[in-house]
Amino acid sequence: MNLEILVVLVIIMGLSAVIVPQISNYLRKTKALTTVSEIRALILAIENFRIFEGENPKDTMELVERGYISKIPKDMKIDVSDGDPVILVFKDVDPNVIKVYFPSCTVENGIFKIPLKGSGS
Amino acid sequence: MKYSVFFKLNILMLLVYFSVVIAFTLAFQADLIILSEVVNNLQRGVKTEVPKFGLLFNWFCDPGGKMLREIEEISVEKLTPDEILKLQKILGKINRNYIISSFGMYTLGVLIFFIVFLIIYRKTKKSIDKIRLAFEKLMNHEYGYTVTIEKDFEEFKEMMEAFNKASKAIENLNDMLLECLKEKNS
Repeated sequence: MNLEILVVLVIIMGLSAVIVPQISNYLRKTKALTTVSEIRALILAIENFRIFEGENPKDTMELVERGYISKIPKDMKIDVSDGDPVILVFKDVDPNVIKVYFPSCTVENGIFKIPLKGSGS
Repeated sequence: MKYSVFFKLNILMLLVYFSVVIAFTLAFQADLIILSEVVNNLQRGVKTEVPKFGLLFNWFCDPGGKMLREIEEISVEKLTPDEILKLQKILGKINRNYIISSFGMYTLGVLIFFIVFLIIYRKTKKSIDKIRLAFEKLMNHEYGYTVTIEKDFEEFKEMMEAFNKASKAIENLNDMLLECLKEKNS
């Protein structure tokens, strides 16, 4: 093998060693940012529901049935058992990013609990 | 080395370099979006922890992590107008650093590509000039003229070797013809 080709291969391998963690880091963050925008859409749908219907939605499907949101984002649920709606997110995303957008969010067993009150959206 | 291999390697290196730069700038953009939300929260008086950013973000957008530390220090419940202004300034500085580093990285890639192509161009031109000069010498009846092979590309080396052989053959033929003519005349 030519020395030049070897040098080029070494450079490419070195660059790949730097780029691969960067790409995975970027993908992790964009996944979290996508989840944030999905949560915001859900919060907006719940708030609209409360304004127009005067009550909290009973479950997630009610929002879709009454046309407040076209579809519920994957791995998300609304919990209204405690009175105020809480959004449950079952996704494996970066908690630090979610906490920036929803400071009142808590994480229990990998499940994000985002109360609508003080969600910061 | 072959010119074709060199050319392909250069293109490959360029592609790898620009994919690295694009990955970096996209990662920085994601970090900037998150950081601007942190600043927004602080301005609204919502206490927010500054998340850890990547090593490269700290290198290019916030050298030394000084600005992120300043943001962390500002994390108080109620901000004074001075602190809000300071936050805006820090965000502006980080954005400026992001633009400068991205622009720098893209420019560096283009510069490297340009320099490599300039080297290839000069090397190729030198080889072609040598071959052209050799043909001119042959046309001026300087049979047996040989081209000195140096660090030329393989393709040109082969061409020069072929020329040298042809030139030697023409010289031999010329000598033979001259001898024949001499014998005929004597």
